[in-house]
Amino acid sequence: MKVVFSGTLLRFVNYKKEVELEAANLHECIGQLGAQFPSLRPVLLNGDGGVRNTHQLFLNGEQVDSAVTSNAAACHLKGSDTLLILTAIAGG
Amino acid sequence: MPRRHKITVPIDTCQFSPTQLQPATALRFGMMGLAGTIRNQLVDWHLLKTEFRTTVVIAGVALDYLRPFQFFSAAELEIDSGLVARRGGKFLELECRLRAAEGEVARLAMLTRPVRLSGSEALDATPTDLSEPLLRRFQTDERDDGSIVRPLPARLEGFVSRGTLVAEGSTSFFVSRSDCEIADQWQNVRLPDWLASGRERLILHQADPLLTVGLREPMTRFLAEFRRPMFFGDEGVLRTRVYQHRAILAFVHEITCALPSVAEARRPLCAIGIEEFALKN
Repeated sequence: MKVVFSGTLLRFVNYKKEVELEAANLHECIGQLGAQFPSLRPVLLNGDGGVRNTHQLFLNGEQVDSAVTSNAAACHLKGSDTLLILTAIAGG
Repeated sequence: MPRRHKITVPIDTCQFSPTQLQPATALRFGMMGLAGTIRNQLVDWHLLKTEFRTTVVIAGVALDYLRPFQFFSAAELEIDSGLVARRGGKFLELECRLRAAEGEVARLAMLTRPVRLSGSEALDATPTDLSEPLLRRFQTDERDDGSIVRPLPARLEGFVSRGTLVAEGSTSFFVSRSDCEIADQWQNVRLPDWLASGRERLILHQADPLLTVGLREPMTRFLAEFRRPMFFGDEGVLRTRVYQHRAILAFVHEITCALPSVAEARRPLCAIGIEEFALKN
């Protein structure tokens, strides 16, 4: 699958706009991203390991509901999926 | 009347077009006023972020040019600003007057929304109301719990429903890091430049004498509302429609963000702007 990053998150993934990985579900996907980009983990995730509510996820163009991200293991993914991760608003 | 923060800046050639003080320059002066008033009435902006985990983002701007003012009109400008907490700290509004020797040349209102920083290095944030300890730093006459003024929606409705559509076009742009602030988020004060680019391209492409007022004459009013920020590396799509209504030619702009994998019809609206020019008989 493909993960696409936008905006303020780019500097935490070495400015790679797109990352290819294999993950069966959203929980695995986020775990792999955290392993591949250690500085991304504290930015993307809160203390409970969930995606911070300051970020938005779009799966194949559809916004992922926060109820889905809080139960990420139940969100199944396939190889052709594209996940977009962006920051909704920053306080710069 | 809120406490005033006043600074005087020397005039330079890059602040002007052949017809007037550039709107982006006026907004930049507004940012200087915002920083000064935050420091004057609240706390230094960096302490606002580090100690209070709070900052503000711009939600809307209204710039009115009050008299002809060009590079050769004066040697310096005074930026006279005050900050008002509105609706219990849900909004902070900057009132800014740009004054030259002969008097006030432009008036700028900048509506800002406080946001709470998550604490991460990305400076990601969520909208919030100003906390009570910060709100208490405003004097009684600097707090107003009445309705906020949003001039853009009514103005937009007037042009769309009662004006005549005379031209339209679209263009795209890339958000460079030089267009952004410290969180790699677009600088709202860059908006007039992107909108001007769409207007100028449309005028030069269409070669319609009516439209050229948008290059020949100074802008009389600039309004904008920000709905969603764009970030470094994003591709913006600017759609411009031109309306004639009575003696005004209005360039109405919408910016959407071309997010990867998101269908064109579902692109998020990021900003709306209106540039007004007076038609002369």
